[in-house]
Amino acid sequence: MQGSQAQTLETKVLHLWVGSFPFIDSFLIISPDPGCESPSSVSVRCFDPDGAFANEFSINIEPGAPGLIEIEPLLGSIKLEGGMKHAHLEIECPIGVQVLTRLVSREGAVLLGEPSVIDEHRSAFFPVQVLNEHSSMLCIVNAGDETSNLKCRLFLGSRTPDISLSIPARGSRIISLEAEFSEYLQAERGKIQQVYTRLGTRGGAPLTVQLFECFVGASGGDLFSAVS
Amino acid sequence: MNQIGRQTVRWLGFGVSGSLTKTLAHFFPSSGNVTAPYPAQCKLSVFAESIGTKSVLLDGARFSQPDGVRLDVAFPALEQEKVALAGIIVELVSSQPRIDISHSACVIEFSSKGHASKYRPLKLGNEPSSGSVPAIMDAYTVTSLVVVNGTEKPISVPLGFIDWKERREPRIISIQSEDIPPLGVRDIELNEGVFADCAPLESSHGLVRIAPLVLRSSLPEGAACYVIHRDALTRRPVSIFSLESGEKSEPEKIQEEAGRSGGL
Repeated sequence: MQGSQAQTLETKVLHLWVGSFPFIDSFLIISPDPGCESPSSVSVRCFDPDGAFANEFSINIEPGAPGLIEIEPLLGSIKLEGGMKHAHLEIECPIGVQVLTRLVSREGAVLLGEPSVIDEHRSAFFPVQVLNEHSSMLCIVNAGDETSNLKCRLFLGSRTPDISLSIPARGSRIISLEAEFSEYLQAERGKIQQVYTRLGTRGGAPLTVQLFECFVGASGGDLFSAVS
Repeated sequence: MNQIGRQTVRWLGFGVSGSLTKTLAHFFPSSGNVTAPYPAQCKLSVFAESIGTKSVLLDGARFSQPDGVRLDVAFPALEQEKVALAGIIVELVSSQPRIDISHSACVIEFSSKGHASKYRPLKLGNEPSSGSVPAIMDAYTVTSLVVVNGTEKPISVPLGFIDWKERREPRIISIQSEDIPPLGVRDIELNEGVFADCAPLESSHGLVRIAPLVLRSSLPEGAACYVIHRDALTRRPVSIFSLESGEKSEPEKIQEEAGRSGGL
């Protein structure tokens, strides 16, 4: 990840969620544009869960060279929200470059792709299986400069309870499905409950969302799964 | 597999079948801003060399209401014929002529005792997305590939990885693999040679080797290649990405346009 003269290329902007203390460590994996033969620049701005600017940095990547960036040292003194240190990364990079988030725990790792986008024209859905020793988190990022109101509806047989949540401009939130819908999601030992979530917003800034699931591994640590 | 319009969306993925792991296909018919629960048709197909192509029509799908089905329930032949890997095509059709169904979504899930992994299959008819997908090898992750050939002809897989040993002059090195027969689905192990020339990257969780995988040319419509990151200990898939080659995808264009206007 060295290099001096980054080529000016057509760029895209990504809005990624990253988590940290106390459960996981987050890394950015930068996978290069196969067609690019000159260094390219990736710039990252970091916002805390309430949308306050926290940090920024940029890197030049050599053509063809992948990059690995550990996020925790760059989060600085970002406060905990929802019992977890997490943040919104706004990333500008050339279109052909892939930037993915890797979450690592003591016992496992998972790679998150580009998140689903929610706005007034698009909603997102995630299937979730409710079982013992399992937790599901929706990781939400507000990509814009105004507050956005998220509506999360659960589909559980014929029941469809919902919650609403305000996501501050540039901020991020995590929704624990088991906690928010505890009245409905009662895991019974040995039984699997299939539910769905549908997420939408009415006006406000666009949001990005990813589902992050945590299972208990063979030696008691965390095993992850994720879908964007 | 060419007839893709605003009233029809199709995805191409793969599923596994066995006593320990079940595959579920989840779908979400959506027209974006129309919230009325109009009916939609869902046609689910599976294919493999040993069983050919089998399809079922699922009743009851409605706009804005997620739904899903277990593959072994919809297709008992998968277990009877001991098909370990099968291609999956999910097709949603809007019965309302003026309603655009292109915002619909699909998720394939592998469910086993105490774990589940999910991925979004390749949406057919979209412009392919360019770029590489990282193959990873470290204490936590190993990487393999699954190639799905839903066409009627054998295909070769133009796989490669970016070799950046010669800095400033990256080369794409071909990865040799057998041709995939019609309706064939193959799991391809990445041998350690792919990572041999990757300089290990340091992290607080140990050394990580990353080889950016690419397709040197586009696969035909009806074929797909997936990069599977597996847990190094249990070999369970933890994340799955489709590997594409070509021009920008629609989501990339949307993000790019929104990015220029200060939004996404």
